[in-house]
Amino acid sequence: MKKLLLLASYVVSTVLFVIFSYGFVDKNLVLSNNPLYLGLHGWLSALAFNERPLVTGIYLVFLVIFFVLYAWAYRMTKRRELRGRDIILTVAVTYGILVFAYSLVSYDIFNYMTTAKMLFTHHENPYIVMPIEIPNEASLAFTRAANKVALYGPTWLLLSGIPHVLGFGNVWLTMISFKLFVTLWLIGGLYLIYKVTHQWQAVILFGLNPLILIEIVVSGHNDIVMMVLALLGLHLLQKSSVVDKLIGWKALALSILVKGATAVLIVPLLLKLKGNKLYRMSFWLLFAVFIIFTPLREELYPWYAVWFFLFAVVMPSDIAWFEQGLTIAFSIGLELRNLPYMFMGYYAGPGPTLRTLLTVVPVGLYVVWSLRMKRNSLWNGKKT
Amino acid sequence: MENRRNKGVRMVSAVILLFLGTFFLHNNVFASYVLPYPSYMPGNKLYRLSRLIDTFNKYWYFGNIAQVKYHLGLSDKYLVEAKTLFDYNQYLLAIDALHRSSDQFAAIMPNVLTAEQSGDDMTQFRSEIQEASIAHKTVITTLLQTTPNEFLWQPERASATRLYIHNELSTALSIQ
Repeated sequence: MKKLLLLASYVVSTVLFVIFSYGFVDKNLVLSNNPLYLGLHGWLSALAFNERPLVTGIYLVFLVIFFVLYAWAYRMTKRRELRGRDIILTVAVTYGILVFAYSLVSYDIFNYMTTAKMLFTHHENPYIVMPIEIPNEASLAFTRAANKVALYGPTWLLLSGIPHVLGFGNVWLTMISFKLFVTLWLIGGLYLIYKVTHQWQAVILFGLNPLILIEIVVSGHNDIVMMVLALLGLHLLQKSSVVDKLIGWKALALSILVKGATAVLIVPLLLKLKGNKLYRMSFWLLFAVFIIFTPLREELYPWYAVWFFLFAVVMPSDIAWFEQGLTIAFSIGLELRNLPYMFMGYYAGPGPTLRTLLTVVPVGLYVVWSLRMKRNSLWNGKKT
Repeated sequence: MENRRNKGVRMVSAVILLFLGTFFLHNNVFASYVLPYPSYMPGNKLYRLSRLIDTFNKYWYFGNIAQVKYHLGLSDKYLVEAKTLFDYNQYLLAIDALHRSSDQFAAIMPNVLTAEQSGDDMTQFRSEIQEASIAHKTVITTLLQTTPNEFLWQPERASATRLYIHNELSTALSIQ
């Protein structure tokens, strides 16, 4: 009964979220001329762009629901009330619905689509030619980073050819195709997590986290591709077979050629670390890149948390309780970063301060709480 | 009363004329096309490497627009190289660089046309190429005024070569 209630809650909340997301469709983008869609979109768009406090509140409610369901699913899995088959069904249904959502908090997917179009339709080198240099390119109307050459490595660029082709030149179909492609990588990642940990808890901890749902399944960020390749690489590199090691190095190299962040994983490999020590160091190195280098370049983007999140869940909870808790606190704080823009409609002004505050508070509270717990010796003996 | 009206009419006319005048000013102003600084010159250890990279870059700059950028970039680079060599009276090397610059410039338009045939709007590139052409012609015209018409190039251990410098520059002028 509880299982069904959890599944039904996910179905209802995700369906409502998908409908809600279409209010944020770019004003220059007409996804369909169907009168039913146009009518619904007109109403939702007015809500999203004119009723900002209300829409921010609705988004916050969705976030709360997703986090509550996440905690519930995790608890049920821990108590063995949710078995492998139930978890697969819950994850599949949730992803299957959310993949149809509009990317409401990030425009990166349109950047991926346009970059792929530059390479596979215009046959131009996207590292040399910017989309904006073809003024009559239709996707310029809704692509935000059109004045930049390709931002991602060749692995992603070549892989993006698959969803590009499957989109058949239709914007909506291409968007869904990209999201589906990325979600398949996420599913591959979940399989890998299970393969490494043999724990369904770890699968739930990662796969149903609202940050993963929103940043990967809804927004279609390619960071998951980089991380799945990295985890595959590290997993295989710990095996004794030469073939496994060779594939492991190739996977890691391909991962580095997605976005570059996983280049730091060469350090624990050179130190010949294995098992949880390898994963822990990988976690902290990627966390360092996230917390130190990304704000220098731009800012703390929520989807960058995927980098260290994957390594937090492949370690057993009893030894990585702090890392897992920290990651979850970050997932809350980072998802709250979307609220100021949704509320105000612009990034500047008090936006940066509010975004920092909304991220720092949950993380700070968690750190203080965990320190107190440790001081009270509640956690002593658990951490090795 | 009449005087005040006349004064008003004169002021309005002056403002309109001033406004219209800006159109003429606009027509006479050209966006300055900036040629690059000289790269490695013949004799430098890295010159051959630089030329090798230029050759390989042809494959990296795939696509019609990228090819336009590639050929335009090299045409600029080799013209600057030619000018520097002319300034140092290295006429034989200068003419070789001038040939390369003209060859690269001539390779631009076919790519523009192919891009246009495939539906890409090349208006911005056409205007950039036009500006580049003006900048190139300015350099070549200056060289026509500062170089001798002909020059007998006499290497130490080889036979002499007569260089028809102005002919070469005029040919480059007609291509670019």
